[in-house]
Amino acid sequence: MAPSPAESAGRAATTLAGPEPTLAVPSFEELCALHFDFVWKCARAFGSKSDEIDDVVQDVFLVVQRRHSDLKEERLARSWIYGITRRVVSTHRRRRRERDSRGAPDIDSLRSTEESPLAAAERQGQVRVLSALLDALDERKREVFVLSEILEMSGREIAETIGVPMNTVYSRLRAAREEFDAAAQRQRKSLERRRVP
Amino acid sequence: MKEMSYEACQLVDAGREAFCPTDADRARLMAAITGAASLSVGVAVAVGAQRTLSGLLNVAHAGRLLAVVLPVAAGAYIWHATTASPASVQPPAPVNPQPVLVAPRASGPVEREAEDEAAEPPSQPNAPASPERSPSTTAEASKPGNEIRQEVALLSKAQAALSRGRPQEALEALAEHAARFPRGVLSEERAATRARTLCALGRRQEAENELKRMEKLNPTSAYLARARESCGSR
Repeated sequence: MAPSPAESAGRAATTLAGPEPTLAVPSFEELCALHFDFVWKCARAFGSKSDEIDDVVQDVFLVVQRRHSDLKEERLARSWIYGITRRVVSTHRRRRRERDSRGAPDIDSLRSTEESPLAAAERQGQVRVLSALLDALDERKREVFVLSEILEMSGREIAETIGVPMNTVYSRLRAAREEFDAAAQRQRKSLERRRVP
Repeated sequence: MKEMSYEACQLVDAGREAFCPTDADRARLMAAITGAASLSVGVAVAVGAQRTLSGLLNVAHAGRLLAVVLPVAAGAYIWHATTASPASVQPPAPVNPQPVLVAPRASGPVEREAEDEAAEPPSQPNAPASPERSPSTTAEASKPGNEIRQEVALLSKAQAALSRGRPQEALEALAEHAARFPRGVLSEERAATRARTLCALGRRQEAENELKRMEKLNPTSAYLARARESCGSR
C-alpha cells in the first residue's frame, strides 16, 4: 500500500532537522500544475511506455482528486503524489506484462519521431538500453537512482519524498550508480564486440 | 560520490530528455485532467463540458473522460453529501467557463486509443448509464490499463446505493471491489465506505472492526475521520 502523506512525513521528519512552516494545502488544480512534470517523468522513468503514459498520468490525478482531502500539508504533497504515482505505475506495469505475454508489440520500438532516422534510432536505442538497465536494478536502488539522476532531485528532497533517512538515500544511490555504471560499460563492450567483423 | 562513466552519463542524459513531457503533452493532458476536475462540481455542467471537450479533443476521448468523471463527480458529491455536516461542506469550486486551448497531436496515444476502441466489445457493467456516452467509452473499461477507473466506478456505485438507502446493494459493490482489487489504489476509501454502510445496517461491531483496521493502517486518514463522524463513533 502506498504510504500516506502523514506516514511519509513521519519517517522523513526523523531525519530532517527543523520544523518547516505549514502552508495551505494547494487546490487540485494547483497540484496538477505544480506536479504534472514530476508525475510524468516518474511514470516514464519507472517504466510507463509512451502508449500508456496519458492513461497513467490521468489515473494518478484521478486518484489525487479523489483523495485530495487526505493531503494535510502543502509540504507533503510531492511525497503523497509520488506514492500514488508509484502505485498507479505498478498497476499499469502489471497489466502490461500480462498483455505483453500475449505477444503485443512494444509500442516504443515502433514509434516514429521528428528526428532524423539515424538520430532517432540512436536516441531510441539509448532509451531502450536505459530502460533495460533501470529494470535490472532492484526497486529500492532504482527509486533513488531515478529520482537523483533522471529527475535531478537532491538527497534531501529524495529523503522527504520517499520517507527514508538521507544516509539511506546516499548509500542506495552509491550502490545504484555503481551497478548502473558497470552495466552500462558491459553494454558498450557487448556492442563493440558485435561491431567487430 | 564517484562519477559515472561517459556511457552511463549518456544514457542518463537520454533519459532526462526522453522522459520529459513536451508542451503539447502538458497542454493536452492538463486540459483533460483539470477539465475533468471542474466537472466534478456537479453533473449539471457535464453536457456543456462535453461539448467543449468534444470540440477540443475528439468525441471519443471526451466521452471517455466523462465515463471517468461522471462516477467520480457523483461519488464525490454523494460522499460529501452523506458524510459531511452541512457546516463543513465545501462550496463547489468555480467552473471555468473559458474554453481550454489544447495543442493538437497528430498521432498521439489518444487518437491511437480511439481507433483501437472501435474494435473492442463494450464491457463496463458498473458505470452509470449515460445517453451521452459514446460506444467507445464502454469498450475503454475493458482495456488492461483501466483498473483504476473500474475501481472508481465500483466505489461510486456503492456510494450511490448507500445514499439511496440501499446499503445491501452498497455492500455487494464493495465486496466486488474487494474481490477484484484487494490492494487497489482506493482500498482505503472502500474500507471507509464499508464502515459507513455497516453502520447504516446497524451492524455496529463489524463497523467498529473495520474502523480499527483502518486506524491501524493509517491513523490520520481523512476517510477514517469522516467514517467515524458518519457512524457517530469516537
